[in-house]
Amino acid sequence: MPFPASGGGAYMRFTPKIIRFQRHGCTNRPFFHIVVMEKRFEQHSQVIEQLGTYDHLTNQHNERLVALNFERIRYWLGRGALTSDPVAELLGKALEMLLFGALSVISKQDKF
Amino acid sequence: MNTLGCSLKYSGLHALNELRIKPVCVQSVRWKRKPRWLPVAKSKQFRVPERPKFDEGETLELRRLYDRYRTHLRAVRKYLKQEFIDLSASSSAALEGTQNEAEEHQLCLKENEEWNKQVALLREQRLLQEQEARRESILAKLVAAEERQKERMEKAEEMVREEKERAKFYITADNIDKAIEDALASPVDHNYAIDLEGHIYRGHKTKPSDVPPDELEKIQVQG
Repeated sequence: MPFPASGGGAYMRFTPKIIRFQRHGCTNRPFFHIVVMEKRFEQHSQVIEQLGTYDHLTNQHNERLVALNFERIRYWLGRGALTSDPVAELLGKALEMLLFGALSVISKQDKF
Repeated sequence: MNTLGCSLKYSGLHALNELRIKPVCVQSVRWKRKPRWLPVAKSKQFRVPERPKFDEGETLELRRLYDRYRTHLRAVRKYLKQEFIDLSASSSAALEGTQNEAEEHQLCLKENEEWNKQVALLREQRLLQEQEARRESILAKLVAAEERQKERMEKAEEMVREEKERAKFYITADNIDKAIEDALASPVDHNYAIDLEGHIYRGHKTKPSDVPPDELEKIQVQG
């Protein structure tokens, strides 16, 4: 990779930014970085910032691991960054975490 | 073969299809579509494609859901945008923060001044002490230098006195003749010879037989 994965790309004013997946890993083993970058740029160009990771394949406990930097995601959404559809789906699943910093779903599950 | 047949058919050469030839030069085509420049197939010429039918209730429901989704998304975006504006540098919270910082800075300055005063007092005392110590050391050095000078003067005076005493025996223009006469009258021969046993024979032209054996000096050998 010619660029550091964690970001460092130039920030241009007045151009649309987007939060989206960037495919890393290798053949038959996808691994995604969740990054914010220029919308018009090609997938593997330099990103502005990395906001998390997403492991698409399940691990030995049948889990898919996601890491999200909620603080920075809030910041970038507040600055008007768009989201790609898969990332929007993922963020929708973590919406409560994103907005309120805690999951109330767990306490709801306790009642059932 | 099938491909070839198709292409022949599209070219309107049905007769050739009967020959069942296998030309080597024919390339296989992956997507069997008619070329764009050929007209609509005769079988499809008057076909009217059926309009897709959507269930009206389902459409309405989907539209409702999508509207709701967009409203919610807009709300979340607005919320985050407002949060960003609130947290940015020109917001009231940030301004308040800067004001607090300024007050804190003033407090710090006051405290710093107090500390400076305390330190100034200490420094004055220390400087006085240092001054006193320096003055004393300089005085001590001056006294020592004076003593040294006095000693040197005494030594010089002693030398002068000795020289004056010695001056009585100086050979001057007045008594040079007498001194010459005295020197000529008492010649001194500093030559001497030593034999193997260490006897000294004084004089330049002395033979060993000239000196009586009782008067022979023997050289003092150390160690």
